[in-house]
Amino acid sequence: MAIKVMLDALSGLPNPVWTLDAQQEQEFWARLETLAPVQARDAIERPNLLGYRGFSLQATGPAPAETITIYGGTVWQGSASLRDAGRALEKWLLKTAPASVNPMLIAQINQELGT
Amino acid sequence: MLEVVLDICSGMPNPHWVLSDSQEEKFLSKVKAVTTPTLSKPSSVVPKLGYRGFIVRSSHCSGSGNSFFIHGGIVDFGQFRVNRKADNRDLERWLLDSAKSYISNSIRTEVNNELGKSSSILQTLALDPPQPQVDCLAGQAADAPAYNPGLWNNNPVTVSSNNCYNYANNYIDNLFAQPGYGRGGPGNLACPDCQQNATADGLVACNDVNNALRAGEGWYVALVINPGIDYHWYRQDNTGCWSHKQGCWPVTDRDNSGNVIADPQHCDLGAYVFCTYMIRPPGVAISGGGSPC
Repeated sequence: MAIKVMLDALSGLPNPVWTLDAQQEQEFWARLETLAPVQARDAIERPNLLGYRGFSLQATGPAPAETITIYGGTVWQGSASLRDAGRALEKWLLKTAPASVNPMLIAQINQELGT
Repeated sequence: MLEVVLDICSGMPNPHWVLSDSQEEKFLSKVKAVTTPTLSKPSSVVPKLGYRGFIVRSSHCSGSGNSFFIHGGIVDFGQFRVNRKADNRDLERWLLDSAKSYISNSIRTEVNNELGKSSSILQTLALDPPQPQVDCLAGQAADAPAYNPGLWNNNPVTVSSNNCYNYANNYIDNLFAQPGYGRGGPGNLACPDCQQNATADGLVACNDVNNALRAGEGWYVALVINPGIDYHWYRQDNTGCWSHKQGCWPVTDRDNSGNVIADPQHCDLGAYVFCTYMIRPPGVAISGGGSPC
């Protein structure tokens, strides 16, 4: 299975995209498994804003492809919503960004996430 | 693709299903037909057991855009768009019908019973406060495009493949256009460089937008930047107000505070700063290398 991560933060320029390596992928699923469900009404929606709007992940093969989005303490996996306490998964995902991603963008988002 | 979630359960997961292409088209046209604005929220935002409405969201890979919460005749578009209200619950009935075998007969009966009741929200529609007045800039252009978000938002490919620069130029090419593409762009992400790239495409610098532009002279656009990180464009519509498209997301006429944009120089830009107004005349040619959305 491969997980492609899109950091959704830009408007004019294309969003940065990278693929998790095998170890990161394993850690991602392990982290996801620990998250508790949250009612859809209490879940945070990704905002249509100028600036940081979270992550969109595409997980592909051999299991059926799925899209997972993460923002503001909520993870959406299909129609299920999970609580990402302390935005820990978001903060961890940002750390997986390769060096090719604009460090100024990373720094700005880290500031927003409080890291 | 649109996914429907019937918000009704407490311990068990809510039923959910995906609309077919024809159902999606029908749903979006039904939503479009609900036109009366309201500042009310559906009554089920107050937590309760039982039927609480439908959540309809885009299951497109970008995770962007369409997301609706529908209950009590109200279509709730979320934090940054004005809600709409209908004087009936036909949209909810239609969504219930679209569930087919994805829901049990008992759930279907329960929701039908609820839909047969009058909603307290429907009875308060007449008490909506008046819409706030927004004074948009007086300078308008005879060629300014109409604010028609559906043209940009109703097709997932259009949403994910066109950016702010496409929108400001009112040009859908699905190439995620970049200023000065093929002519040296994007360069440094600073005001002079971004403006120069746009000039290379044919846009014209201007200092203010208070002069009316005659037919054949184009319309006003505005450039803002997140220094060293990104740029963004707005355009002035034929209403005199401004609208924009933020990356892979749907077109909106709201800023980061949810306010109608009367002037990009004085709206909530988040981390971005205002650069310049420009004029988008006829004959501008833009292009791009595509988008990973």
